[in-house]
Amino acid sequence: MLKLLKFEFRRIIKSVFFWIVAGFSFIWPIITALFYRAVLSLDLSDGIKFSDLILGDDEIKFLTWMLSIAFMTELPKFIALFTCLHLGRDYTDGIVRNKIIAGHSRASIYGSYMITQMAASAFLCSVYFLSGLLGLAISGIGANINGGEMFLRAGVGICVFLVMTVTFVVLSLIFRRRALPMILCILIAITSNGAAAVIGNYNTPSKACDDYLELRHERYEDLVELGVMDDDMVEEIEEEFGKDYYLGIPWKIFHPVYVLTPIGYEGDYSAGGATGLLSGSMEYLDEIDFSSKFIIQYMFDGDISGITPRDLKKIDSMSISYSELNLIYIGKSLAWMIVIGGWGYVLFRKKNLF
Amino acid sequence: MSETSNFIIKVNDVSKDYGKFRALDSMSFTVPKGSIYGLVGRNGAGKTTVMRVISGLQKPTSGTVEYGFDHKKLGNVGALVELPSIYSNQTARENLIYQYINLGLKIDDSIDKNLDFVGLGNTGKKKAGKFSLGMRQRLGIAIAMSGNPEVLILDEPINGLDPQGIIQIRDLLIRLNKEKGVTIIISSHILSELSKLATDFAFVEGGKVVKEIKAEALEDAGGLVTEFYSGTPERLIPILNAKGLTTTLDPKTGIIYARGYYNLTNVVLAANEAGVNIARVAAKETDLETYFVKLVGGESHA
Repeated sequence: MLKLLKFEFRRIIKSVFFWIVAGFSFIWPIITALFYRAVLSLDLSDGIKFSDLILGDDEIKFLTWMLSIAFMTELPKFIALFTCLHLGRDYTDGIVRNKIIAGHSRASIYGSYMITQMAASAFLCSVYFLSGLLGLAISGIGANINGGEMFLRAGVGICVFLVMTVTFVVLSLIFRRRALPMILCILIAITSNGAAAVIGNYNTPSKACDDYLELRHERYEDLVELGVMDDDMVEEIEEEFGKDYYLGIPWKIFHPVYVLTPIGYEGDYSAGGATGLLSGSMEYLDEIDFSSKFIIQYMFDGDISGITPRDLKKIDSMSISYSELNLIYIGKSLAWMIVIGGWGYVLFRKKNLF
Repeated sequence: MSETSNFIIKVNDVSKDYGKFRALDSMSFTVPKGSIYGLVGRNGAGKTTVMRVISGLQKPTSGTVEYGFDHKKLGNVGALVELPSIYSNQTARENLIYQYINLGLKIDDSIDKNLDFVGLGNTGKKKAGKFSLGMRQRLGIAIAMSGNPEVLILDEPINGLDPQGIIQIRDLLIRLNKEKGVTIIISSHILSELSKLATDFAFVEGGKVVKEIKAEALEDAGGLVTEFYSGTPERLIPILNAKGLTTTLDPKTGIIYARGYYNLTNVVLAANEAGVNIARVAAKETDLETYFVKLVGGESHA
């Protein structure tokens, strides 16, 4: 196995395409940070000029996260292409045969491909993340890593990303022709961004919705007591904007996907930043407001109770700490890597390799 | 498997099925240590399949393959089955470096020696993708022989080569066998070339080995065969036998097949003295191809 790892790492290090992607991962976040700096300090009040940049700590924290975690959306297509081209060559040039004839087991061959491709992916994501921080520092925006917690979150992001890499490796190894896995992998890479955004929106647990409706009902009762509303009005609103309204068909479809897979990562982890900015409060950035984003989006429909994100924050079922969420995502990612990787191995073992 | 075994590979009743198609049907043969073992057979006879099985690329459906050496040791089996497995975007040297890493060998000047051995020492930075077919085959052989394998399995290594390339590969294989003591199992469609190379032959037909024979025995079995046409063949036969020829009479045609070398004048004079008429004589050498056709019947499609 060590010989095969050495073999594959050497190939990766000597791959021109790999270094092109690494170069992109290094340069692009810096360019993006400089662009943000320019946009944020652009002053059009008196012609075009750039003023001093004044940002709150929560805004810097949000920007830090947004920029550095962008590898989740920027890199999949490149990694898909790299994996398919890199592994596909071993098939087209017949190198897998050499490895088997030499006496390596299929498990070792499969394992070496998987480990080296995952390492390459993790390296490229890390370059992107660190370069994002560097870009923020260079641009003068500054980086707020939330006491180092941001590194953990990025680590979890890489873990989630690796599920995609494992999928790319499996697809590259089970199809002999290079074109088909390339098309499939790039499709996955492109749709993953949209899927993450959509599925991440359906993160609200049923209990959180119940708790929100209960809180809202209490507020309406207060309003009835104050004479602002009457019972009929409350009944009418609650009937129209009940649980089925919030947790409708899309929720019923996407929430199980969200629960079972790590696809909702970006949706979940952006919730803290989004609600933090929305409420203007730092406290929302310290832990993730698990369901708030979803509920807040709907609060504009039929919610006249005056509930704020700060109120939702007090509800247990709507809040989760980053450390808890990190563990959940690491667990889900590992489980999916094992499932997809294991399935790939079963197919690879039976595959005609010549 | 023992250290002193005189075989390198023993194939015992190996069968291989692809769905309902039986590619190998209880195939058995033994490859002597130090030999150049030629597999002869038509397309689809099972040569490539058995090479895949013995090189570890495929598992047999039934039967066993015994190895007279530690075949699980990395690099003890070298093979070039069908096309050479090389990175087309790398140089010859870089390809060998990868194979050395694959086998856990120390990267040293033996790489250059191997390249020189196969005549690719001066290819420099030229990518393997730009090599001629012969160069690719030689690089494939260089890769297969990395790590000094006990056995080299070569499936059609001279396929598609020009005459010069064929000669180069033939010389290379003979040197490998003689100088490095590598046992070679080889198949080829070009039977005339195989006959110049192999020390042993196995004739493969319908997924079975129908005959194993040593090169010397093949020569004995073959040699010159002459067809004698006579009105009285039964009287000619004793005359031919007296001249040291082995004869067979085809009762339908009356043709006498005489095997062996002779002086035609002496035979004609002896027949004349005995009052036996010889109407026509047709002589031809029996080569590997003729032997194969006789053995399996039909045209030679090996």
